[in-house]
Amino acid sequence: MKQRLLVLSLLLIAGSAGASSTEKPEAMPEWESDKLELALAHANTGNPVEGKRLHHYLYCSACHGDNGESPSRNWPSLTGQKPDYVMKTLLDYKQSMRRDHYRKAFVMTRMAGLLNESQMADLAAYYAQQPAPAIPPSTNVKLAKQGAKLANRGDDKRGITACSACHGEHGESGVTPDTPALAGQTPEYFIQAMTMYKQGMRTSDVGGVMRMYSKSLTEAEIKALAHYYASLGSKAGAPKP
Amino acid sequence: MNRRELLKALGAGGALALLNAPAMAAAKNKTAHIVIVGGGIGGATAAKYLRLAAPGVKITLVEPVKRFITCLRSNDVAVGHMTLDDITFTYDALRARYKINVVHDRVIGFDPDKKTVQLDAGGKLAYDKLVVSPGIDFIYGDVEGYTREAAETTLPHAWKAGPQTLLLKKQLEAMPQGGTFLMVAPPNPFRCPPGPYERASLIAEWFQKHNPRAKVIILDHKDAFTKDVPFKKAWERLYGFNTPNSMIEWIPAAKGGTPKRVDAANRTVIAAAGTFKADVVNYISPQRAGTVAFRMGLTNREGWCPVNRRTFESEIVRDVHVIGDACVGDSMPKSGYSANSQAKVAVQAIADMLAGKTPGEPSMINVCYSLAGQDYGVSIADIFKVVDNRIVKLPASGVSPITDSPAQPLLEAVYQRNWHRTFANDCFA
Ligand SMILES: Cc1cc2nc3c(=O)[nH]c(=O)nc-3n(C[C@H](O)[C@H](O)[C@H](O)COP(=O)(O)OP(=O)(O)OC[C@H]3O[C@@H](n4cnc5c(N)ncnc54)[C@H](O)[C@@H]3O)c2cc1C
Ligand code: HEC
Ligand code: HEC
Repeated sequence: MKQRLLVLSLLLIAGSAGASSTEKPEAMPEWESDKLELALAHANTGNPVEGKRLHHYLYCSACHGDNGESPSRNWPSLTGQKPDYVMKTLLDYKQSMRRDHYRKAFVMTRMAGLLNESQMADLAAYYAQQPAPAIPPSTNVKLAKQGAKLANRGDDKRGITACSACHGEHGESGVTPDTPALAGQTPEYFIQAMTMYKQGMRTSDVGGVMRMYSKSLTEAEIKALAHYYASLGSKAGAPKP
Repeated sequence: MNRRELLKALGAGGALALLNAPAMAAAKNKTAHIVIVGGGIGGATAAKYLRLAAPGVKITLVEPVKRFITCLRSNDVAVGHMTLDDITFTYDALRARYKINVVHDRVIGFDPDKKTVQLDAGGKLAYDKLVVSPGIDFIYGDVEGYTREAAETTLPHAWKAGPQTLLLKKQLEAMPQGGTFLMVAPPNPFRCPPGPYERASLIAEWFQKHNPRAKVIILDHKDAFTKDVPFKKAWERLYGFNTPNSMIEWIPAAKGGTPKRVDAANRTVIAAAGTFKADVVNYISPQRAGTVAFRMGLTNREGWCPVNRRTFESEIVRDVHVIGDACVGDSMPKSGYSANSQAKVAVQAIADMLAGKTPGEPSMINVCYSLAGQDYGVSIADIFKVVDNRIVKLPASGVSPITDSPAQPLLEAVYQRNWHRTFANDCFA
């Protein structure tokens, strides 16, 4: 069984790496903030034990790793993420509010379609309980250094607030519970997310904050930021439960 | 006696000793010409991978069509989830990127002694090695009343993608509410063993939406089929299989499913199990190697091409390699994946032979993904080795497990889609 999954997921890696398209995106639905608040009311009531069971039973582990820490550059890590953000994201997918490589996030839209809200909260509780991801192997130290300044000071001239103001001094999330943690996040995923905000392809940021802050960033800056946040991952590596 | 026969008679060692140095140099300098007959899955893969394995050789691919329509995902086209354009590929990349000389013509004759193939438009191509990947053709007249004309007009097989696929689609759309779709599933061996059952599934799913009282009946020449356990499970979960309201009825040979007679005009098939009058009949004909393989004298009594399983060189004609659906593949199913895998083995063997090396031990893979519904995949993954000139399955991997996790078949459906895109690129781009 393990071997089968391995074969299958290797094929998937090959599949997703080449994905790209120049098609014009169709408009996606967006949240109204009061509705979002209501939807997240129970985000913190999940049962992590049930979350762990679901993580394996629903094969989330096949992509996101044994405990939610991504084993590959193809997928984001979920460990150490805030429950509100995970809950919101899963609702986003379920409502087809996110794209993956300029298409709707095909896998996750389907996966989230299998979940009810209490299961989403259980999964969110489980991921929140796991230690933040270790520094991903593809992290480039030199690039990380370049990204630090922009992340922590922003750029007044371009009206870019320091990322740390919202995402936390160490990328651990911060101001609001639906702001994602970024520390140790897979750089490839980070770059994809930023590029999609910049191009207006990811519209799940309520009020358009991320679309605004990413607008004037260059490709090189986005890359540096990705490696900076990756470098904030835990050094020892997350102990597996 | 020509030089080749001389070499053979003397044995490799003796022959080498006889050759003088200038002759050796001349043999090396001459650019080998490899001709590939058929630019489908097997032939296109062979052209591309031969270029990678033997950068210096001259490669000519002979394929009649300019835009190749793959069968892969053609079942999705039949029910409108994809279009023919989505499964059509050109030879542009093979030409531009891999410097393949693509000739849009048909091979109609062959001289194994002079080592030439004859083209339909006139002219001959001389080869040093020939790769033949002509796919399948159909056996008509196996039962009374089933003719080529019937297949082309009223009882589509839709087993080569293109006009036949669209004919089936049109017939499905024109079916009366509550009508019957009848499929005849072919005897072994045939192209794409899970294909009929995938098609039956997707049509049942399409009926749920567009023709909810319609039924799918499968008359089968066989008592078992590949991935039948997960397929039947999927049918239970999705289409009420094994209940009185099942949308799919499968009649195996043991229950009289083998067709005996066809009345094409009345869309009726007669079998021991009864007389089945349907609104659409998808008669998937029994199959044999592509006609050109017969013309070339490469087939055995069963209608397939016997080959050395390690090199895919024909057991009948030297310097001719047959791959894909047309060859005898033993336990390897006739799939695009297999054709692709075999192409890679055959061209490596050719490159080795041209370089005077002995071809190595091949390892081949087949992975078949099928859909039992748009969000429900079933798969089989196998690895093969050659033992005593037979292709045998290794015990690893296997068929989709049956679990109660709803994510499992869903993910298999996702893999299916990703795989298709990657795979087509591996063959054509
Ligand atoms: C409905 C359906 C679904 C399928 N789905 C899958 C799938 O999901 N995965 C999978 O792996 N396989 C699938 N297959 C099987 C797959 O299509 C075949 O196994 C594969 O195409 C075999 O490759 P081939 O090279 O042997 O033949 P083909 O791909 O058929 O290529 C043969 C080529 O030879 C050419 N040719 C014929 N005669 C001549 C001549 N005289 N001169 C020159 N050229 C000639 C033809 O024009 C053709 O282009 C499916 C098949 C069907 C019917
Ligand atoms: C086949 C691989 C795969 C499986 C299985 C899978 N995911 Fe994902 N997941 C992804 C990919 C790829 C993304 C990023 C998609 C995007 O860019 O929107 C993602 C994104 C996410 C995100 C958003 C991360 C972020 O930082 O915004 C969450 C949360 C998530 N997945 C949870 C789950 C859960 C829970 C399951 C099981 C029910 C699951 N995933 C199963 C591939 C997978
Ligand atoms: C005003 C607060 C704010 C600021 C400033 C901010 N972000 Fe964000 N960021 C958010 C919120 C909220 C989200 C979640 C949006 C969503 O759900 O799509 C987010 C999402 C992201 C994501 C996607 C994470 C994931 O897991 O998918 C990345 C990457 C990111 N921000 C990077 C940055 C960077 C780099 C900067 C600085 C240039 C920055 N952010 C500045 C609030 C902010």
